[in-house]
Amino acid sequence: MTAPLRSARWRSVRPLVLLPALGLGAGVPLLAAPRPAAAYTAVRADITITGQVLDERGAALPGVNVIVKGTSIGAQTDVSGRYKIVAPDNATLVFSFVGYVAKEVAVGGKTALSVSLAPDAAGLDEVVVVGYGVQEKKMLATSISSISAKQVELIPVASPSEALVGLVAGAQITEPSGEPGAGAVIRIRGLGSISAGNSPLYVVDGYPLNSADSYNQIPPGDIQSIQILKDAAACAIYGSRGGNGIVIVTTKRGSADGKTRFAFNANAGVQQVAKRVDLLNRDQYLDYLRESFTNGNRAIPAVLQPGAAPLPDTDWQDEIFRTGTQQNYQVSASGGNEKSRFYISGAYFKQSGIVKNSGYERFALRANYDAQLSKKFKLGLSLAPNFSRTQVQPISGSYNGGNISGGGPGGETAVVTASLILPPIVPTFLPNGDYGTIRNSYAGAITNPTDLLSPLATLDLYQDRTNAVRALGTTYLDFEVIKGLNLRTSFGAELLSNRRSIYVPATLGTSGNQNANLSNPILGNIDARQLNGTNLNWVWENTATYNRTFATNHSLTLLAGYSAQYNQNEGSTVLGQTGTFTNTSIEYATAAGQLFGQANFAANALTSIFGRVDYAFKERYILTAALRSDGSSRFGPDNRYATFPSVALAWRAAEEPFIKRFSAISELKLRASYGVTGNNNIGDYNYQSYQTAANYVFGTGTGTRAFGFSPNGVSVRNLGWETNTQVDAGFDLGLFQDRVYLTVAAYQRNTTDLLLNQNIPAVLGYSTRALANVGEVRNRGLEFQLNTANITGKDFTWSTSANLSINRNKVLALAGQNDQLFYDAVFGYTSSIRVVPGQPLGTFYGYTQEGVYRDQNDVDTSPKWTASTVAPGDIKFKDINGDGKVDTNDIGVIGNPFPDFTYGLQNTFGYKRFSLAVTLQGSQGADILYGGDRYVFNAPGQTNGRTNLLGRWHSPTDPGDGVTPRATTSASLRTQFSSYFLYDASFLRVRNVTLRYNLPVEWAGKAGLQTAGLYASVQNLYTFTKYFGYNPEANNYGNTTAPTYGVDQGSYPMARTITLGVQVGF
Amino acid sequence: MKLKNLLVSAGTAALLGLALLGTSSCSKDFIDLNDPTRLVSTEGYTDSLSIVTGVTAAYSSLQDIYGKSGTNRGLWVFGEVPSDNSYTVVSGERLNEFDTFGLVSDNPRLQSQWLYTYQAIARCNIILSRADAIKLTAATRNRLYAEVRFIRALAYFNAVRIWGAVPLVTSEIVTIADAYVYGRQPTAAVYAQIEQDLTFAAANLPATQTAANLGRATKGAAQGLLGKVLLTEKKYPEAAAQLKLVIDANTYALQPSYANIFLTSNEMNSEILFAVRYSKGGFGVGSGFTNFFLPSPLTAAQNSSVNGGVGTGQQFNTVDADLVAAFTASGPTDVRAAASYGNTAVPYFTKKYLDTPTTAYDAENDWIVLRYADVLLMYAEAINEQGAPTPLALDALNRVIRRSRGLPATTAAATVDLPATTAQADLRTRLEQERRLELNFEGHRWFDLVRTDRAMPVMNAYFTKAGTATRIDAHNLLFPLPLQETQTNPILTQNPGYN
Repeated sequence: MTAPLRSARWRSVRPLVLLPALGLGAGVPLLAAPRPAAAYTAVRADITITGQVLDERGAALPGVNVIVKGTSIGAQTDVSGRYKIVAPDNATLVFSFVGYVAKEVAVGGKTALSVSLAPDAAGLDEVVVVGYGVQEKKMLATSISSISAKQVELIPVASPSEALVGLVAGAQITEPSGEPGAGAVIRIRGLGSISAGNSPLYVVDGYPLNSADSYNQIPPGDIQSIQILKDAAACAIYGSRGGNGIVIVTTKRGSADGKTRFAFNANAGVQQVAKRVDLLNRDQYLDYLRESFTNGNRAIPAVLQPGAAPLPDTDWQDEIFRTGTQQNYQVSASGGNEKSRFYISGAYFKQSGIVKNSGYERFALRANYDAQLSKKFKLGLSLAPNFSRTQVQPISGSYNGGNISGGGPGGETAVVTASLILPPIVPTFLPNGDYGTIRNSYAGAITNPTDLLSPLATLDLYQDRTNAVRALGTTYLDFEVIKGLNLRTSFGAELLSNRRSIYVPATLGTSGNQNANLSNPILGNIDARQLNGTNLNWVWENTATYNRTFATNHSLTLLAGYSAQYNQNEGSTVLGQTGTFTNTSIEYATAAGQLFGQANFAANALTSIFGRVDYAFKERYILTAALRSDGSSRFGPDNRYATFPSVALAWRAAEEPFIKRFSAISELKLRASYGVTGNNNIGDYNYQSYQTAANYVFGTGTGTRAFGFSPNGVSVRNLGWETNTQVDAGFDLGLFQDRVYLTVAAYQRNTTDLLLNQNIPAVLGYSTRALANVGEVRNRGLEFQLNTANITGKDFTWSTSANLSINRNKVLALAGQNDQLFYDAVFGYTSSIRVVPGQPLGTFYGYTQEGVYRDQNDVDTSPKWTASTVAPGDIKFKDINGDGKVDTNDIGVIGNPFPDFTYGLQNTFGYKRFSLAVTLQGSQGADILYGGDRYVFNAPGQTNGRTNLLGRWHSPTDPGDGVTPRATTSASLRTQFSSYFLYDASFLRVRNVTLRYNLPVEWAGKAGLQTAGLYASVQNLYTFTKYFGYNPEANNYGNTTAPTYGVDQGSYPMARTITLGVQVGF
Repeated sequence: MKLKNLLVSAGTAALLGLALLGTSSCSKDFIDLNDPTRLVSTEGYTDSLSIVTGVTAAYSSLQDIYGKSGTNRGLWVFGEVPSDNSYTVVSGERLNEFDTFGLVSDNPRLQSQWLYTYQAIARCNIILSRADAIKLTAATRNRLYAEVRFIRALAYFNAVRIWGAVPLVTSEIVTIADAYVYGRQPTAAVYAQIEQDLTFAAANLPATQTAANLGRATKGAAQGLLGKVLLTEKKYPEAAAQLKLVIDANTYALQPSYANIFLTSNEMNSEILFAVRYSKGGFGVGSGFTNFFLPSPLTAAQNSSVNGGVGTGQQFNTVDADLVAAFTASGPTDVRAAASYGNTAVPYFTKKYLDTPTTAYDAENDWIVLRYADVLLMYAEAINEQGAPTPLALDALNRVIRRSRGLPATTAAATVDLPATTAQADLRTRLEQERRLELNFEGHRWFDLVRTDRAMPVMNAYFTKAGTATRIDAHNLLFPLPLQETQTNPILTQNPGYN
């Protein structure tokens, strides 16, 4: 077991090593590693010491470093936590392990020494992966949040982004859709961009991904740690891509103790719709409908009269939802020795969605290999092929033109939207077997909207499957020139190949062919498409790292590097021309008589040089300065190179003697940073102008087309990146040996040079607007992270991790002085979302509802809507400008999609062999726009509605809840967008509850296992919110770049997932 | 040991070499990427083949100026809608501001017309700036130049009639910053440029185009347009001279039947000097006038007979009862009435652009810019304004009148011909009426009224008759510059009476 361990502190993190700083490996105190103690003297008689290391719950801790203090002699514990070491009988042994407080125990001549380690709430000894290197957490001068494998590995979710929900201060991680395969959306320190995107850069094992989706495809079980780089000083090393923050993922690697370990983790469970929307049932609906007819002065059709034949009572939510299943299996083998180390895993994940016929499936492999080729040379290789299959459905948005993930044919019935408004009196099936719709079940009786078709038909018949093959491969060669100086070259490639197949059969009713049904196939309704796309991205990076400690007190790390990255996207679409399909038996584009196609290609390239200096004096005064210069093919030729500087300072006051007097204070670090980063997602070739088709007609008769070409503009030779300038200041405070550890940061992030269309003189001859770098958005915020080890008893432990983030977003300037940007939240709510200087991005604009006109007197004496007549029971808008009438001049700010603050709380309890982790996630003060009610009012009184309609105005003497207007078939101002449609999206969600039981090592051993645990987990157990919808975080627009947030119109519901799992090691 | 040393030195060399390579000059090429699926515009028009596509693009921009679905409503918004010939019912399009002279400078129609005017000019300027560098025969080069100078002149002529003084751009602008130096130039300077362009075009264009090239500008088109320009400038002798060149060349002739001029089966007929050409079929070069102008809703019978039921009418440009009354006054023998408008009661609709579109806004109808009847009428006017009608001038008008009565154009007809004794003032009145009826809904009426200084009296009388409070004054004779343009480039001043 004994191995010459040169640096115990670093040994434990070697699995993280990808990076030159660690490549040094041998014998060099890295960065600001502890000062080497003076050479030990008086070696006494060596004795062999054995023992076992246990965690706070009494479970064996494998991989713990055991080192003889003051020497380089060390060992590691095996899978059962046992170790053996030879040491002088008066030596002191140091036991250290990532995530645990290191413990020193004097040998005192004993040959058996068992210890238990307590978890380290602050994790100060952890190393944190920063770009192109690592840093000890305590030596950080920048704002970085770190999540370890332990926190995420048991959470039963498909993607690492979902696992992070609620855990990170300063990052808003939301799930706008529960659709299988759709990851969470990560936004770090607010939103700065309007058109170039707000997604962070994802870096996996040193590889900066091109596709954020490649990050979401990593099985959470493969992840060793995730760091979220938040301030510009931390992100500047990635220059023009660091503006939105960086998420760095480190995958697991083998350890060098000569043991091979196998791990198997399996969990499976069920998914249910966590919450349904309360809709009117048949009788409530019929009441409402009859009242609509009466108030609209229309005769109630005979079929709806009381006493008519009983009508069906369909619960459409029942029809589209199901109990889904989820399975997740992962098996891995890892191990190695001084010469080579490996980690190999295979994972399978399958989720059958809670909406029928939607689902997601993934096979993933990973092989990480590291080899010490010679004393000077190291080589590493990572391969991560991945295959996924996704089946999507039109879910949200307009009922007759649903949003389909990744785009798709228009005119499909959005299943969730439709199920929320389709009257319960429509039967699921007609007697002849056809799908029931309004138009075929009550011809003429219920006339509107006749294009509201069956969501069940869509789920049964619409076919849309995507097969994606991803491969991420990286390799590096590291060469130690002299002690402390490492050169490293790495090359990696990310390949993504997508094949999507869409088929709309002849029997599926769509807005173009509303009568299509099982008994009425319409050939002209068939839509078949094959979409293919390939993305190839490669990165080649070369770095030199020099790392030394001078004169005991000065530690210095220098990094210099060069990198080149190239990305190429190519795709094609083949589709059959509508109307030329000749049969219903071939479900492929080739069934069409006429095929159409499209092809596209785009590429971009980036070259960079970068450097960083890390300096620390006495581990007290810390300076980090970084600089990166990026040259990008996306930037105009006059602005091709961008330079991004940053500097961060930290003072670890706790190390000062005058603070050390206060024994309660174990850490006090003050830090401040300033940095500039960029966002280069401005699109490929956008600065350039191209010849575009401008055709004309010449010739006799009706003439024939002649092909012309004309420039589409002049090149914008100075088009460049969006610039983020961020200042960050904060402190870390550790009390009682870091049992209480508080991190506070404040920041201001100004995004300038926004990519926007600016007005230009049209005499130029091309357009009235052209892309330019103009405009400014500011984000200011505060974030708090508090980790406490509340109880650290032998049998019972309790630790808490809490975070709180506050961010304020404000648009400071746009392209022109009076410029505003307008967006339609949903079809019909024109310009309901605006970007206006002085307001947050994506502010809701509309009328303010004051109440409901109570009676005719109220109508007569109150300001009125001018565009149509107003009756008692109609929504009463506020006369904002006080001119005695309500018109478009009364439209104003009515809501903000951003929360006042978000928070997360993770409590972990341990009792003997049980552990319980509970994660809460919350958000306060955001507004959400519910677009589903638009149809309730727009197709007056004839679609189904929510149970809030029971509180509607009935008469002056029965005015209802004072908010909900009367039922009527007449057109009315209810269709105008107003605050009626905005709701408080505040919520507190029990995000995850995991109960785990570790079998005693002896029991496991009897079964031939080294460790074994059983666990049960519930994801999204319950959400406390006043919002009636499926998900207060819902957003129709998901991860889009447009500033449209907080729009819910039939979103894919959140699932409550209950799983049971087993985790064994052997 | 040896191997190890070798490895070490090789490794060092490789890493250092790679690092150096990376930072060396090749990185510049590495990030210099162009879209391989498209041609960078600065690399366009480098040979005799591609320059031709540029000329086609210049013609193509005329579709935008005269009206094309998806880009611009068209010149009729300015030439027809404000006049007493037409009204519009769609307020959402803000066309009503043109109809009732309530124009506000942020009207999107102003902006699009302005944009497409300068787009046409830019496309012409690019040819003129780049073709010099291409190996071409002098004849070919001059013909290309003549075509684009004709197009540029036409664009400026429309612009100067709409806005008066406009920026005069005569060479390619290559950066956005350069576009800010162009302020408004006096109308005289604009007209001087138009005259130069048309003179060059008339000298270098062929008298007729081959069958495959039908639709390109001709010598006659340049001369006829120059005649119109000079007439607008009130340079009557020069105008008469140009127009007489067209008449004497005998290249063009009146169609025997008035209705046939507008048939999609009779495009580029003997009467057409120049037309903006369109072709339906889903190729992106169709015309939208059928759907633009038809009333909404049509009866089912009308629907199938006038546009084949494809697309709906928009009623953007609707025949006014005042025009119908003018036809009635002209008498039952005027065959132009039946060929000009449909329906027997409001809403009347123009019949000059009827066709069954392939899909909505994709129809066949060309837009006639200049036809022989116009030339004849202008010639009569140019002579008459010099003092008194001449026999030649009266004959020109009489030909148009004879055809309007269904009579052979070239055979004297005592019943309808104007007598040789016709006085100047009478002829002026008659010409105004004939031009209105003959050229109705072809985009001329408003410009004719302004040219003859008759806009204010005629329109105000019309408003009085219609019982509306609208009255126009001198400022209404020009349209406002688009607000965005005056805001973006403050050296562009607004026309009087607008802000």
